Amino acid sequence: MVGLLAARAHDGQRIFALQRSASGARALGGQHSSRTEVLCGDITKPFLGLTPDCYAEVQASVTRVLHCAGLTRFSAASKEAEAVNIEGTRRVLDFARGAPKLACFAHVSTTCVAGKRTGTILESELEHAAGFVNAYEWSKYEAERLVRAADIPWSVLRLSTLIGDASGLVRQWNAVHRAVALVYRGLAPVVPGYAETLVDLIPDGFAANCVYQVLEGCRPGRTYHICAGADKSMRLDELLQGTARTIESTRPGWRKRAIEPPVIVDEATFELFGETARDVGNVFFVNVYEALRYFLPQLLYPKEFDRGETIALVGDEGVAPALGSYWGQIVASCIRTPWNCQR
Amino acid sequence: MSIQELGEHKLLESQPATLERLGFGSVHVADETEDVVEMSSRAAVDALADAGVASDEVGALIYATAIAPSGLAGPTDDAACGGEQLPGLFRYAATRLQHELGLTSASVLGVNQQGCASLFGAVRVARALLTAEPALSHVLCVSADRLPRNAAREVVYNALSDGACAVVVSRQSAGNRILDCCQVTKGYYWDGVALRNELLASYFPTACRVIKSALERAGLGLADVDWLIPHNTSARGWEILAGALPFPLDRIYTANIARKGHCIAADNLINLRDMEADGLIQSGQKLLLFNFGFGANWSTLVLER
Repeated sequence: MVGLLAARAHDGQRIFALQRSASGARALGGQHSSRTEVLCGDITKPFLGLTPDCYAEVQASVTRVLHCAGLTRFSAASKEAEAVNIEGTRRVLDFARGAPKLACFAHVSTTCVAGKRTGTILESELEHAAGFVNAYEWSKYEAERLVRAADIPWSVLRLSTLIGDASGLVRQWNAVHRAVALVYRGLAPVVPGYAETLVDLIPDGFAANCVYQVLEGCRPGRTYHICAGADKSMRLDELLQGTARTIESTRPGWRKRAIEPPVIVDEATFELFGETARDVGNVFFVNVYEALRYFLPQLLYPKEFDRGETIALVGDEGVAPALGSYWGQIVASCIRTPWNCQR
Repeated sequence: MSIQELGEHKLLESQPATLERLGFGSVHVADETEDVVEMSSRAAVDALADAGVASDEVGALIYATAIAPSGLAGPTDDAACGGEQLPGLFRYAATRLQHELGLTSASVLGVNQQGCASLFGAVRVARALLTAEPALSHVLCVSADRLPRNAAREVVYNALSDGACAVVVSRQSAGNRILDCCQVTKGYYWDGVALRNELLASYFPTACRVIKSALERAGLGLADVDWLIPHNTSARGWEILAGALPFPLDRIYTANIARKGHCIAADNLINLRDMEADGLIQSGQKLLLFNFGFGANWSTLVLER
């Protein structure tokens, strides 16, 4: 994202990139243009982890803030998620409120704020009592509530789950890639959901471009769903079948093993699988269940996301490539670099 | 022996309380003097009587076993081949059974290498024989397995019983009609010990596919099945599989799991017999029998009463 911003920055524009770790800051600083100043900070700390002078200097000059810092692990504990995603957002909002030249505060949220809602989710909607699958979803929901209540020119960008590049290149492995690895190894007997549940995943480049477009064309008070949408997502049963087909073509020897794709089951059966693993003391399957239970149950709450605002602002660039057109490349990446998937 | 007693005698891998939570209560341990031929002979006599078939009308005897020692005749200790003279290794239980039962017209063959699914394998072969040999009218399928004395009595969270069963497969019969009979082998899991978790993971999705495929071939769906007659693996495992199919748990006969344990290859026929005795089976009902053989075979029989 920083690279994209730097590449498209106008003359005279500067980018301050707040990075948590010193090594990360050094790495980021080495990659980008002289328009970028990488600062080592922490949104959970006073002054965002900067010196007061630096904080004040940056605050005085910024015109746009892109808040995309946060904890993204589905398995994050509540306290951890609260500290980073909620309290961290509160501190960034405090920074933004004190920025006299601020024209746009773009908050990167997630479509997961819809939690256990089902049906069509409008961009204008947030509040609900449906509950959440994990602490990550809950913390991002609360963070978005803070942003919407803030008296600043905010925009909210709800991203679907990033899965890698549309060419198949995966730079950051997440729970979805690890689930694919479990399917490849034949270690995931059941997944919760419905055959017809739409799986909405998006490529990194598409997401970054949409974020940039929103940041540039900022319309305060709007929320944007940056996702595949119903027509570009894949049904869960088709995703599993497509995964198996790709694995067979990538690893012909896999076919000889006759590994069966997981069965799609209801919530009670999925939880019974986990409970049984614990009951018999099978540590292996307890770990498999734990790897899946923080995010897969989202598949029990079928939903599709309206993208009217996004399309109106971004046009055709707001239309994601069909997941089915590149899912095979992502799966092939997962298989070819299994060491990454085991993290 | 109760599960607790098995635990006290260190014949289990899991804690007794774990197996009890999974649905097991007790297992049948054959008397020391009882060998597989005696066990299978008793079952066979009953089966022939039920079918109204005389011994000399049986054209073939198929003897199915899950474990290697069950294939040899003689006292159990002699099944340890290390102490045998070479000719002794050819003392087949099936041949002896043919003699004991007076099956004077029956050729003999054995089915093994299928674990607990071996009896279904025998029925499949019987059906094929009847199709291929018009002169054949009745095939007697018998299964018996008796674990060696002091053998552990648990395989992958399942408590094992010694047991035997028999069924007559006939060209014409007033009993159950075979609508479909199938077996899927996954050789990758040949070493169920080394690939135990992979095999466990494969069990449920493969079972679902095999069951649905069998029903489809028989022109049926899950909704058409009146009873699912299981092998007596854990009740918990059946809860999960019932959810995965999905199939109503109250139409899966699990009553024998606690009181009889997993009788290796004999579960389904023992369960069917007990269901008949309890008046649970009605004429015209569709029965789905499912079995899994460690080693690794998934097997189904679809019957119409």
